[in-house]
Amino acid sequence: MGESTNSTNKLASDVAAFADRYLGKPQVPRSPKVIHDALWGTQRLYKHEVALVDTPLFQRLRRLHQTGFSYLTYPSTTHTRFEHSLGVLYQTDKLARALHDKYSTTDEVVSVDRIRQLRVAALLHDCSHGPFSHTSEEIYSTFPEMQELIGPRGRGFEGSSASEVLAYFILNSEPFNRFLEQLKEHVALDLEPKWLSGVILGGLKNSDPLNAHYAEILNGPFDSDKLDYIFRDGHYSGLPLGVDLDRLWLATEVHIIKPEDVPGFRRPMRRLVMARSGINSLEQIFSARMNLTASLYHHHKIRACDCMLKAVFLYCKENGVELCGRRIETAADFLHFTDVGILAEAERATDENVREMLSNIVNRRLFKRALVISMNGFARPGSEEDESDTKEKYNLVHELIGTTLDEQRKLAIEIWDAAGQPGRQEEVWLDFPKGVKSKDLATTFVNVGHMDAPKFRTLENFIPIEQWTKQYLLQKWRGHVFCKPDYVPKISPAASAVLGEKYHIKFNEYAFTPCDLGPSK
Amino acid sequence: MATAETIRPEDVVVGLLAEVRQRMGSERFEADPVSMHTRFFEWRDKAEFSKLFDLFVFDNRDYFPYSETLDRVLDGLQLAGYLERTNPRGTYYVITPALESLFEQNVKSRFGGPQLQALEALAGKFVEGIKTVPLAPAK
Repeated sequence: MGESTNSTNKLASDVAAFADRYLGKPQVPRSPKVIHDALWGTQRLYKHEVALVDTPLFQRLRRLHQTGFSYLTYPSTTHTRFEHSLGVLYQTDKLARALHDKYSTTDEVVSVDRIRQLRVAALLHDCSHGPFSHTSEEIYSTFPEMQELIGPRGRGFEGSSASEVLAYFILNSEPFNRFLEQLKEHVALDLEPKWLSGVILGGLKNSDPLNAHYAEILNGPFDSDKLDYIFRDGHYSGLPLGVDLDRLWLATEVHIIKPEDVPGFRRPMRRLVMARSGINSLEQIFSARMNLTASLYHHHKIRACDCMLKAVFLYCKENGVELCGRRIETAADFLHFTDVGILAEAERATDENVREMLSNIVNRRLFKRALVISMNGFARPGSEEDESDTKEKYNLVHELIGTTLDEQRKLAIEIWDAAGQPGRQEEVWLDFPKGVKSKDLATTFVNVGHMDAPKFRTLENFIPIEQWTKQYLLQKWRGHVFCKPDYVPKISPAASAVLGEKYHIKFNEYAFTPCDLGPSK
Repeated sequence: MATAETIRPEDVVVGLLAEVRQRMGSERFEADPVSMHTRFFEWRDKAEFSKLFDLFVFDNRDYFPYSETLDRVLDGLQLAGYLERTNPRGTYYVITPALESLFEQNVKSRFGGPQLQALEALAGKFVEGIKTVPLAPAK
């Protein structure tokens, strides 16, 4: 067994220890329970589902915000992964039952047993999230033991997200298996951890292609996860968004796509397919995601908070400083943290720097913009503002989006050096959010034939998402150099010089206008 | 001379497409993501080419192996005008002369001799397997 296998074993074992601590014995209620949700109304949870919800593993989700630090900008976005998971359960049930009803003469398409299992997968799909979800994931996904799994030629998980890997290890751990066995003593159900994780991670699509549609209900282009977070994030942020859900549920079909139907299929695969009449609903989903991205997920204040928290994690890891009584050594350590626990460290941490960094977040003394990188904000020296210049800029923006965390940190330190090292190096950050494109264009199928004689086309033939994503980069995408407010006047020119020299560009007034360049106070 | 470790995915794609253009001139080829991503994925597993693909990540959970890395590079080249997809439905790619210049002037020096040979061999395979259409078909 090589070193890499050892590190995977250690990760699995650390995650199992977490599962052991956070699962315990199932507490099964005497009857099902009814839960009310601000968004979807009332739904009933079966006894085994209540037993899962009542575990510390699931209750922990109450202490994880669904949209990280967005509540510091959109005050009502205090909703949590707990509510979202219940919402995904609701959406999963709705879509699965709509399909069950549509194909009621052939139970094998969507069976009642599978719906019960899908509901459990829906509940558990976010059980592995770390504090401030994607912010901490950006850090621990770079850890060597994680890169061995999800990075190039990663063993078994290449291309997955780091939190998905942790979910796999939780669901396939001995404590989780034991929990399910104990649950069976109270409730007659057959839950297979491999199947649950196959649905949550999407691996089921290839390992069991004739049941791939089950995975798509929870992990596909219009899955229950997206449907809940689009509505929930929109509702709580106050951004009005609309998707015709009734139409979407009714227009979804299930078909076996064969290699002769669509190039690229290596064997028959049963998939969710949208009828022509549901295309508008899909268009609404993509449009809503773009709106949320521009207004919420990529909001500069929220991105600044993310950078401040990443600074805390890196500082603790690099200096061996404890956070919530724990040193950050492996990705599994993040499972023991919650948003609530991390923010409490603003007063409790033994390290003075950690207390200061977190207290700045808690009291909303946030990093400010020292440089804004946008398509309008720079030019190639000597180039005219014409079409070819615009194309060159696009290329640069793509290059920036492709930079790794490590490369961004090196550049940030270079800028900090050039500015005369004001404060600490953790107080200068670069942020280049990813674009909005995804593989959904090639993996979402529309039936342009009939229910009983289907013909399949991919979604890119119907919705100009390529053009939308280009326009997003042109009009709305913003990269930033952030730093502590006092250092903006020093960091701003240094950032302009360092990035200008590296990428052969010259920043104009649009890069500086949003920044507070006044004298230090 | 640069080593394989410093070759970025951008460089590999530019090198490959520059070699492809030398073989097929101004013909256009089908912009089919399934075929493109699958081909890159298969090449990565071949010993003679694998070093070129060290930094490509593939997600093989769906019906074809999708690489976000490759997608980002192709988008970037397209948006920068090196790779055109200006036909009404975006069905075809056309490799522009500017991409060949980009390769010659800025990228080629990053590759060693064996890597350039590997790129040439890949370009041959690429052209063999793709559906091409003349840029201006006769009426």
